[in-house]
Amino acid sequence: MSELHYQPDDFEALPENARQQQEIPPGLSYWAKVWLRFRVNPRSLLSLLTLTLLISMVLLGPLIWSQDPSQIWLESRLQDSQGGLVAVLVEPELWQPNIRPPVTVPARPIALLATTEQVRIQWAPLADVRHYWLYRHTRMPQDKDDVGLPLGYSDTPWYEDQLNLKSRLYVYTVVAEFTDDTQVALPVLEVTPQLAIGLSSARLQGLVAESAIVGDTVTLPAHPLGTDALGRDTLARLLLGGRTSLFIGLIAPLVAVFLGAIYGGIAGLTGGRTDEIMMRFADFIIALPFLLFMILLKVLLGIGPGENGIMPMLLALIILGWPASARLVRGQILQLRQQDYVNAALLLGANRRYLLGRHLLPNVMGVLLVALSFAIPQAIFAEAFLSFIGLGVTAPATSWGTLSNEGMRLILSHPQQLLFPAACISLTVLGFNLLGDGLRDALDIQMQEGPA
Amino acid sequence: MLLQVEAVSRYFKLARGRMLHAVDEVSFNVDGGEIVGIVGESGSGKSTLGRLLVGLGSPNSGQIRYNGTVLPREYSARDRLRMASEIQMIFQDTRGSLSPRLTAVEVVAEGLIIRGENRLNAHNTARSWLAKVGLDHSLAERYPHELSGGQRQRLGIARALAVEPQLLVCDEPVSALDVSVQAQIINLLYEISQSQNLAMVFIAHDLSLVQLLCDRVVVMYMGKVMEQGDAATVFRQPGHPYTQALVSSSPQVRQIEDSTAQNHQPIPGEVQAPINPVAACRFADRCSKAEAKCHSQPPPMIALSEQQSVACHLV
Amino acid sequence: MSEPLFCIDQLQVGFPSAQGTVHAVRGVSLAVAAGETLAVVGESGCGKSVSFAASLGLLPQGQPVELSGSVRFDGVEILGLKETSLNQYRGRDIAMIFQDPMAALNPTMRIGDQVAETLRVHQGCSRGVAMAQAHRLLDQVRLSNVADRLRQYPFELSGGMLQRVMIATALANNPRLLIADEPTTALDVTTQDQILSLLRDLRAERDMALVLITHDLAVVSQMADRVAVMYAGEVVERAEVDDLFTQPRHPYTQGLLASLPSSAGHQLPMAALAGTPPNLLSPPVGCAFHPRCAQAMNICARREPEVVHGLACWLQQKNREIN
Repeated sequence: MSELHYQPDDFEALPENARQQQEIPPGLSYWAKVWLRFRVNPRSLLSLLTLTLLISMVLLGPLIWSQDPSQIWLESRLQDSQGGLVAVLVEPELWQPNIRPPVTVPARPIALLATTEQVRIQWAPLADVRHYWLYRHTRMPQDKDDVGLPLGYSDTPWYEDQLNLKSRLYVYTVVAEFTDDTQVALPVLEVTPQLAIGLSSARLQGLVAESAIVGDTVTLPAHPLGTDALGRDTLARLLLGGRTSLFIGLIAPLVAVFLGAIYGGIAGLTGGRTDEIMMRFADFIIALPFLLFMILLKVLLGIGPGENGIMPMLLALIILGWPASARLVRGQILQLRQQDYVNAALLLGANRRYLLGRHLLPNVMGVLLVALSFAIPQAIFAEAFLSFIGLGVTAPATSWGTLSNEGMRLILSHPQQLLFPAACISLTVLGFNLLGDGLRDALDIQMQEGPA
Repeated sequence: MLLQVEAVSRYFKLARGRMLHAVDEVSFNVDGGEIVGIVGESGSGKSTLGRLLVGLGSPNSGQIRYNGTVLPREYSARDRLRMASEIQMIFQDTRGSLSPRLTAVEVVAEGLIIRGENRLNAHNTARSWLAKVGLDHSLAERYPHELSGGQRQRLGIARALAVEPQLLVCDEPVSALDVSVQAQIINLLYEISQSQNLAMVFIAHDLSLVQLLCDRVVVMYMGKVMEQGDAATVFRQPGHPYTQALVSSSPQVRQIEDSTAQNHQPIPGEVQAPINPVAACRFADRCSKAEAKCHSQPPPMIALSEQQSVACHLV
Repeated sequence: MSEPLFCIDQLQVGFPSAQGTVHAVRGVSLAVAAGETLAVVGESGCGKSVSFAASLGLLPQGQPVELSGSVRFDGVEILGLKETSLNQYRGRDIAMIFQDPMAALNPTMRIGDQVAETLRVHQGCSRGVAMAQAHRLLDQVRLSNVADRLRQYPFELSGGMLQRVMIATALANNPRLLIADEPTTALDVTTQDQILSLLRDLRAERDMALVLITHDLAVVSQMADRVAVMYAGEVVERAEVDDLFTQPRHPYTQGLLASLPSSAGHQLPMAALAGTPPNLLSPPVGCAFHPRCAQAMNICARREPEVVHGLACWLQQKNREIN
């Protein structure tokens, strides 16, 4: 045995106060403990963050991004993402060029004016010409047949192009058709029109002061996500649509879960025959087919096809949504009533109201929260689905489902029109599902972590 | 007589017309300040009986008198409030019998608040009860999951005692606890019964605990009382073959000179659930002394002495 | 002296928790010789089950953050072996039975098939042979009506019968060591009596070593040859069974024995130990038992006692110093 050196007082009795008392961890309430467990789950935190961002974006976004989501900008339809372009003010007027062009006009066509409102082209007249045919291309022609979009013909040596002009490179080809049916292509003209906006239109939209004149420049509103087929700002519409989607997605489950909790609570607590009848009725509601119910409800409320269906949708989601939480709460109440702490309260003289308020409901809260976080994405998805098939929200109101529907038509040319609302729906649904998962894990507290 | 249990039965309907006779015509008495033990194995009906005594579940037949008045079959809210300060209960599962949402002091104050006392007074009284059951004041704001099993059981005892009952029904109060903690709780119950002159019904499967703590004992098997009487007498000279088997099977610390413990023969068979029992002695199938009569008619309760009576044909 | 059959040496096991590492086993050393019964006794959370589960790679809590020491079976190191290597021992030379047999049986498989499956997996015998052998094994564990029971499902059997089935399964490959973790805790006293008596007889017949993990000192006194008393993840006392019950040396053992109702001499109040076992997140400095010990000395709160003659207590050294 090793040689130990004892201190002189080693073998004296240990004073009572020198005994090491184990420090007891601080008292944490149930919800504090739930939060502690929730916090350590990275997926839950991520979902919470995503949802907070999405919801604050939808709530606060329209205050910051103040563009009118129903303002139609025919000048800027289906634009890609752009931020604050500078446009020149123009006034559309009938163009009456000189019949005789200046001598300096060469055989090669020239652009007298090139804005997105109009491109004016003039060239030296040729003899014995029947028509001048005009073609527009977005790149240099490869051969003599590769001339692009036929715009029309002119009998005079000038032409005004107003067809869906964008601020980009165009290559115009003028083909002279002679009276003897021969054709000659003039040298091509490369033009990049300047972004322009009509003066009256700009005044109407409040972009410029009354004193502004043609030729002034003006900064157009930015469209970070581009514009839709009617030139409305996609971002503004996305934020507006989010409000509708989240409103329905939050309100419907909240009301349904609240009603269901009361219904299930009464059934569970009363028990016996009342419980039996109440739950059979809930089963009946669950058996109703949602789509049919929704359509009939619209008819009943006198809302025709294509009219706005937010109210019937909300009603349908609530009416068909409550039985699920009623079942859940009833099951929980039945289970909790078997708990000895409920028995103990009963023996202490507690009445039904006390039991419900003090013991049953607080303990149902957790599962209810989980049920809610799973019901919300369901409702959001139901809204999106109904709006997508045209049963739900219609213009001028919009929702992510409606936006997806509109975007669907442009999927080949402008896929982002579908992408943005679809991504919003997916993110929200995923976020709430992950949140529900995390909550369920966090609430499933095996209260065995205290001191042994 | 504080409590008179008179031929109380509790049946449970099972599927396919089967009937579980959980408690079958059980009779016994509890005097004021007396500790009565109810022993039996699982399925003997002792816990169901304990719950009947406090009005959790109502007997199918028979009645329970408390201070001479018959207790109602179904308790109204008024009955509950009235009986709260008469009979209380302590539960086996210390986790399940305490709400995870209430702190220690809230648990103990609950009965007082329900009774109508104001919050401040109730909490003050509750704190003094926590001290009386040996819970440090630093634990008053703790939640049940932060306490040890022994501490939780002390809390359960404080909750029951705070409303100052006359009778305490203890349903296996220490069987979920460690040995060293068991002794603390038994001591606590004993001290309280002495100082408060509290009557107790102590339900347990551990014979040595019952022998130690109880004045009288009721031995149950498959819903029936097999034997009852003075605790010391019943355990020293068990009259019923089942009590004898129970005593000899109970693990005791072996004495060095005593080799019988290792050589005794265990009784055969296992406890069955009393489903649609036939009119016979319920122990007859496992009894080594059983005769034809034991299988054909139920034995009556026979008094062996003033302190002991046995339900057996063979005495 | 040849090495014992099964030997745990300085085993340390720690589990992760939100608040830090829980030191569940703190330097446990135990040995079982062939043919003897070792009882490991202690209160819940003392590390008695974890020590053996960790030794055999069967921790239900999952992978520990801390696992060190040495576990040898028949002289071969088995601690930290891979699953496949461990399976050469588990279920063959070393068998285990647990408190809850229902959890260890497949509820959708007939009893006969389950026992036979074990035989077929380990011995590769045919279905017919395995069934016959299952029948014989269940006879050996004194199950009643074996022919009928073979065709029944676990839920149709009582707890005592299921524990017999588990024992039969454990015995299937003639283990040299049977580890029984609280085998009778969930059973009624009359059934417990039967199972203990069965285990006693089987151990003697087969000359296998038995480790009985239990909290029940009365069971220990009836079953064991040697006893190890554990407290707060450590072995505080090792002794022959008779010595332990006649002359308990560690104050904890003394307190435990005094807490038994049967040893109270029909006198209340009992001589109970005060306090509760410590939280193993941060065990007390020095002797883990000193906060509850009536005989604690200054040194007990300063230094951990060394194990001398199977006893980890400074009182021993005090007596030596005085003499």
